[in-house]
Amino acid sequence: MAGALRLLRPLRKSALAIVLGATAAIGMVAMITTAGAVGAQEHGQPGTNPAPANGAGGADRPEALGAASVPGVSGASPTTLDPAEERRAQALEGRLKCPVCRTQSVRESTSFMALEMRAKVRERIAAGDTDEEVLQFFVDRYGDYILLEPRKEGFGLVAYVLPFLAVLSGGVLLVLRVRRARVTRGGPPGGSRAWPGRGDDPAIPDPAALEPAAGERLERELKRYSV
Amino acid sequence: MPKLIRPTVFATLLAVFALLAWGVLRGSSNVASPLEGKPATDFELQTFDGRRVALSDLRGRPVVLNFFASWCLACRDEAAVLEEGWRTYGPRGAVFVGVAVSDDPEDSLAFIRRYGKTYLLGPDAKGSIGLDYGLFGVPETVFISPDGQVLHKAIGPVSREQLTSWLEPYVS
Repeated sequence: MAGALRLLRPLRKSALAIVLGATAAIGMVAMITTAGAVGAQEHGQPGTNPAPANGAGGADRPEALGAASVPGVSGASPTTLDPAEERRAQALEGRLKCPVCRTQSVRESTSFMALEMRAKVRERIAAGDTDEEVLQFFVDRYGDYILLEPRKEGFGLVAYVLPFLAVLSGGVLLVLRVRRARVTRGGPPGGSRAWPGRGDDPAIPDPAALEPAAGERLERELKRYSV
Repeated sequence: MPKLIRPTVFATLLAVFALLAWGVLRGSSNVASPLEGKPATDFELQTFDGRRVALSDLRGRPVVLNFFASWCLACRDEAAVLEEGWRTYGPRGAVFVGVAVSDDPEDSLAFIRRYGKTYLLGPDAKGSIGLDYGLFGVPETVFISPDGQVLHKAIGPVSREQLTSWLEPYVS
């Protein structure tokens, strides 16, 4: 058992890296696929549902679920904004996440919820809300999740700080690795002593005491490293 | 110091993976909503059979507010559970309200007839009820206490067990 472990020792680092890498990859894939499955099956997300009987198509084809055929959308009368307010509305829609498709902004998405959110953004702007008030309206109902960019406060700070911490940790790790490699190549730590020569180190056997082939090989290796 | 690097890296990766696994495995039918514990937004609903219902008129009774659509497969799965819940808890004081979201009224009515739904059902005509209740999609169900607080929100089909645990403490 101990012998087998010794044989596997050089493989430990790479095996650990492979296992961790595979685990992380599986975790990522599982997270992505499960999120999709949850949305599609458990939550009845329109994209995977059959087309409505009126032939409008699923809500992942909201151009088909256009205002004329969707009561929820058609009921919301379009709010007319001046050009400056329109620019504000579009900018705000770009900062809100579509709750149905989740990977798109409300501005990009054509899902039924995005259409209703766009109508609500315009309604709030026309009512005189500031940008923050419009965003807060959605945060109050959906949580910070609805914001495409986390806020730079509280837990949202993690998203901004973590990348820098990761780079810093990577840098420290790199420096330590490089220093260790230089020490190994340049001689023993401290540099005051020479590497042990043959006869000094009990771990180096006398080549003459070995089988001829093994002895020759050991001799070659010792010469290669000037021992 | 170098001896600490490998365990630190390992522990960090393990923690990240544990976080991912937790996110994947925790399930999504009962997620914390920022609405929970807050007063439910009042709304008015014109039901398909012509009645007018306001949430404020239902104060004093527990309300199960369900969002559905005829094109939603999961809504078909939960239709029987909701109707059964209504028949069980309606006589004991609970109110069930179904809001059709992004649906053609004719399709909603066909869906209601097909699944024999008999509680209060109407369209979200302005799309505002869904937004006020932080709707991600359909089906979703919100439980509102007799004093008008949002107590629970289920994303995905609601189960018998959920309805029972929500309603039992508030019905006669």
